[in-house]
Amino acid sequence: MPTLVSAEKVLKHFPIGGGILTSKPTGWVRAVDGVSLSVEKGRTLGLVGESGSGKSTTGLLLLGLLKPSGGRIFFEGEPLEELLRRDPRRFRRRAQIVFQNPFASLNPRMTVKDIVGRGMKLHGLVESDRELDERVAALLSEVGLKEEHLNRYPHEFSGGQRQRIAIARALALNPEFIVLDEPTSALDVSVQAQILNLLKGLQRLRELSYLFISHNLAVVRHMSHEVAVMYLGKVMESAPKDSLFSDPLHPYTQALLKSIPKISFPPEDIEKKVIEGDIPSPVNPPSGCPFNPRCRRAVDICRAEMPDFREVMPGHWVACHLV
Amino acid sequence: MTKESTKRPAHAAWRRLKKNKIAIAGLFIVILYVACAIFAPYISPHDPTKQSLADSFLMPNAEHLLGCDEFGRDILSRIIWGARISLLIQVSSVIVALLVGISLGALGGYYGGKLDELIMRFMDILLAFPGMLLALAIVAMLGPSVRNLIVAIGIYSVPQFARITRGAVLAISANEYVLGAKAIGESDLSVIVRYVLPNALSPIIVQTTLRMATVLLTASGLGFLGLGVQPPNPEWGTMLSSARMYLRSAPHVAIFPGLAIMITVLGFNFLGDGLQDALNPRLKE
Amino acid sequence: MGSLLEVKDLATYFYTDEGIIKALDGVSFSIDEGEILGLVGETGCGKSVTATSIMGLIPSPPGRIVRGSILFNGRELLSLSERQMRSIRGREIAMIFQDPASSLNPVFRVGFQVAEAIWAHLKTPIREALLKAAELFGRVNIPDPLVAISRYPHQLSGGMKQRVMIAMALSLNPKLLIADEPTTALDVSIQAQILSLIKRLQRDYGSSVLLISHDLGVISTMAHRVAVMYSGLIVEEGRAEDLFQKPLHPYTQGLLAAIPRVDEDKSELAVIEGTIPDLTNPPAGCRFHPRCPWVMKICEAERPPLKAVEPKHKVACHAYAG
Repeated sequence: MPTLVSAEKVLKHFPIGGGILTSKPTGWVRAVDGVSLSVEKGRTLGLVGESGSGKSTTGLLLLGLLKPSGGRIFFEGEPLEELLRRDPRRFRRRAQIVFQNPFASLNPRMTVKDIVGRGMKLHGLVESDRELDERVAALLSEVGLKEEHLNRYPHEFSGGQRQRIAIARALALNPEFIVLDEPTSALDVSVQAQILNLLKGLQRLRELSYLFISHNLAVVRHMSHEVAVMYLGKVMESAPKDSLFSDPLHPYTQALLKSIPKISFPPEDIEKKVIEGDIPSPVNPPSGCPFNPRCRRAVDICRAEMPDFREVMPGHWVACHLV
Repeated sequence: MTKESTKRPAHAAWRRLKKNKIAIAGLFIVILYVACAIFAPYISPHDPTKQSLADSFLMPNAEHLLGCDEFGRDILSRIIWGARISLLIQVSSVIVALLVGISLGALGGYYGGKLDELIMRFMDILLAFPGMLLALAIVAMLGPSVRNLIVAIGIYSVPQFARITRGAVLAISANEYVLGAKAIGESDLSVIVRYVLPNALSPIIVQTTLRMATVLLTASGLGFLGLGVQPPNPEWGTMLSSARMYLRSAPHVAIFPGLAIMITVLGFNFLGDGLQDALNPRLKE
Repeated sequence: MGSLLEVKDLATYFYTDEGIIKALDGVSFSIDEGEILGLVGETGCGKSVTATSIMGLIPSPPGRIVRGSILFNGRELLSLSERQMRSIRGREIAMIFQDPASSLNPVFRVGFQVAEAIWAHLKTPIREALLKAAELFGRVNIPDPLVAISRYPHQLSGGMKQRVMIAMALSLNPKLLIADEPTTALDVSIQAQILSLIKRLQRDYGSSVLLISHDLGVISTMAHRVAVMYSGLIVEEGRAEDLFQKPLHPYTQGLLAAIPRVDEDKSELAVIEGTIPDLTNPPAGCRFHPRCPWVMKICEAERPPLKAVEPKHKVACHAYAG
């Protein structure tokens, strides 16, 4: 499978503090700390992690909406930096994003037509206002909305419908790659199913490549072909979906999978499946493997050295000293 | 869980405003004031500058509803024409302040960092002067004239608008639709003008209304001190200033312009507070 | 075991400009002593309003409980004065919320806030109450309790704040704990910690728990009995094992088919067509009928009663009438 987007040891550190008089920052948030991953053409890479794992930041880096502090990102083999310098607008057409919160991701002062059509207008993809109307109406019907919604404002829609508008907006420029940043986390389960099915259908139809970011492992399992697990700015494990869910190798992945409350009978004993301790702050991450303070199997080397991210089976990568 | 109105947000705000009796009273006063200013030539019963010494200090009567001043000029007519000058000063100086303040606030809030620090510290310096003193200094420097008054009051209102805009821009920039706009390739200017500022309007509208009241007070105050509109032009503060000498013998000459200032300022404040509640319904709950 | 809480035909309406929102329209259920009842449903189904109605915390206006009864330990809560209700709240019925950050006062130390709650009900001297708070912090697994009591809320993580809320809720040994989406704002690994904490404490203290969640996995893991809400009504109720193994109501079945599972692959997710009804103008008859795959003539006209069709398994659906 050819690769569409890839990241090599990408870093993003945000400065803390530093004003007009004190130009030196007082510290760094290591939001993304050496992430390598790749999204294949027409496929979905699921990116899971808890808060502070840096998964959303990674998404913005791949879109060029944030500048990496280090490492390299490639888009169809070309360095992203180069693409953005040569023709930033052209790149914008190729990569788009759908956000988590449908109540904050649509401009409340714009009509649906403006929201969805703005990109096409901006990039000169339509000749006339009538053509714009037609194109937007076609996009709306593709995401399951009606033409009569064209001149309404976002507040007139439910959360699920807004997310459909956001998807239409992302599709308007006919991109190859879409970052889906927790696209269903704010939705009810019955609506979530509709949106997930829609996204899968669109992927088949338009041969889209997705980076699907979520904290919900069940949703990631349903949506992804490959999965990467992040913790405190680092990828701990990445593998084809089946291999990751049936044979997780990293202690963090294993514990995470166990600690999800499942529908089962007899009910599982949640008390036996707990990962102890709090998630450390990315401002001051633990030395060595970031998971070591919570890892039951941690040994001395885990506290001293960050393990390499190694391919232990074909396509199955792990960063753990003990594997 | 309440069902959102299917109309645009402005309709919902108007509906909430209509329920607020004090705000409607304020709106009524403001409309009356603006109408006086616009239609002064048609509704004022007499020429505001025509002197008639025989009518000096005339008490209110059927011919002169609010009486006459020391030169026998009709006070009602002078108040009506005074509204015209005050409104001109208010609108022009607030427009100056809006243009400069919104630009500076939006730049600072949107770009942040050093530029923001620089702009906001400069605003702090402006704010550190007692407002009246700043306007006073500017007028004293430039000389008293309506144009200079507008410039002075405009400058002294800039920090308020810059601060309010910056706060709103900071809050709005955190919304995902701003990032989404960048993702489709909008330029920074376009992001600010199309996505950020339209959503920052509510606090700016409220601040503009409230500021109208302050500006009127400042203009009248400068007039009172002799640095505002020069006689014989009928400006309320100037009227009050010359009337104060006859306060004992002919109090009505001072009372009516004073009342005009008070009622108009109250009107703008009532309306501003009402708008605040109507545009930000959550704040009130 | 007898019933600790018995809710009968509870109806709570909100009178707004847009019309009367019938948030609850005849909800009945009971919780036994020492039992965890899971209340599950989607946004706007009325699960949180159920909790606030029991607590007597419906904002009025616009809200009002228009009919029904809430019997707690044999006392009718709806006939109590606000003062009597205050002595029950916290002391006999405690509640924890989804967002622990907004439930704690940011300007006071957390230990003091817990101690104050103890003092308010028992008039325990504040020094003793603080020690009691530290002891409670230990019970909810907050590390270094004696240090933790002097922390401010912003110094604690979300999970730790929720532990403080639980400590506060347990401080007076309440008979009933209402937990409204207690882990929704938390990360998966922290969620597991909090859930297991609630479970352990429920066992140790013997309290009853009303656990409200939209997450069927959480409900399955925690609850002894489950009630499914839809549009202000309970549509199905039964023991957790019965309800999850053999869901009866088409809505419950639809929900279970619609969620992706972490422990199995589904090729396509089933979809419940349509949207949640408008509570100001809910559909006549069964409120689920416009979305129901089994809809019959009678469903459009008559609201089905919630009745047992199998031992300890109730459903409100005309399909089970015969």
